Amino acid sequence: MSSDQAELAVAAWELAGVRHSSIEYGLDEPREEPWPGHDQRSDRAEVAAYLKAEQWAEMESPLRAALGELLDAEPEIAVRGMPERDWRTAWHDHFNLVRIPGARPIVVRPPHIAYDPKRGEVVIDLVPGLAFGTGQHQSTRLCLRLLASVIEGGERVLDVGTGSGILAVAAAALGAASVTATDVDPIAVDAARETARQNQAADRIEVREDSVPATEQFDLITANLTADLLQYLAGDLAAALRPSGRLIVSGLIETRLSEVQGSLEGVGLELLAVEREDEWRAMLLRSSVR
Amino acid sequence: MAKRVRAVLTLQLEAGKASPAPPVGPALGQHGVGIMEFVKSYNERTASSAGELIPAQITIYEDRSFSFELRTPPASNLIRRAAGLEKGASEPRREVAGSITSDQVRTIAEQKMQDLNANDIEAAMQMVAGTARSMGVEVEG
Repeated sequence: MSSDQAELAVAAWELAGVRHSSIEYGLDEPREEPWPGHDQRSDRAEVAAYLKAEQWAEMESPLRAALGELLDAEPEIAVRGMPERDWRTAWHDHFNLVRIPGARPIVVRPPHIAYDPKRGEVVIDLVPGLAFGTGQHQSTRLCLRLLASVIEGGERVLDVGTGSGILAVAAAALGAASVTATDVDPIAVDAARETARQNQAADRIEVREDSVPATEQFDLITANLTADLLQYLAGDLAAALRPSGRLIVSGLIETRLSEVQGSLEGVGLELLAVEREDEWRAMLLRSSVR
Repeated sequence: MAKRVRAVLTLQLEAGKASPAPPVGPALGQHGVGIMEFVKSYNERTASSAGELIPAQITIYEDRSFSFELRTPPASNLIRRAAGLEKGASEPRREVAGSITSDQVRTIAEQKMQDLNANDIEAAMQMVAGTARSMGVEVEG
């Protein structure tokens, strides 16, 4: 049904006594969010009511009648059994350890998994929540892989669009002298501060509500953003690199790679490497200013 | 952040009283969203509106992080309040539980415009009036 009909269906069910309902808007495939908070509801809504079996027996006919009246048609209703479970931990099924192999392996550990790090492994504790960067996405893993391969120790690092702060914490754990992490979303700023604190790295990571700082320069910048944002920020990113400084960009799918590469080369950056995972790409670039 | 959206949902919740029980648990659990994280944030943001139904529209990203926005209370809630009723008619269509004026319909429609896809206020008013009638609430004037 349409999203407006879904609103009305919820109203009708509520009147019939359904307290617990949800609407899910079907998406055929993941969609890029053009800006934070952009409404992505589709016009293919499904309304779910959560009832005990005996309630359903009692309410089925009034529910059907209320819906039929609103939709002006016989509603399609599917009934599914649902086991009782502790919902607080339901998400655990979806979050496993994330391992980034390499000379300096990185392990991202969600809080419900006990893990004893092996020698030489960098472990990041991460509570998934209200900010992007749980380690479960290719674009984050590509950045972690490139970070581990380029950090030698002692660098001044900038992480633009830090989200959960996962890349900032990884940079600090790999040996960066200091990390500046910025995000324009205040919720992400709070989340990144919390991630830094949980990983005992708060003293080396400064989190700010900001984009690319205009008056500072860094040895290494990470920017896991989107193709459009990377093109928009290309000049600012190049200006924030010290001579020969390096830039890691991610958040691109294969089809946008060459256009973003063009924008970055256009502001004086040279491409050193491209990392791949599924359809996702990340690039390592260097400032051509010597 | 390389945010791509994997799902969008709206949950009907009571301000300040969300818990991992349905609808939150099953609706978010199937997408692997950290439920306690959501419950904590929702209750914090809605604490001052206790007693109201405040739906949350949740956007879930590909890496199972999420964001959410609060929506206006459901039309039925607003109609019930405008008509001064505890609940709708027990047998709507046969029983009249109360009434609201067309000015009240307009006020509710204006409130709901931001959540509905209705292009104009007239269409939104028709939806509100339709909901009212299905609840056994007459529209006067």
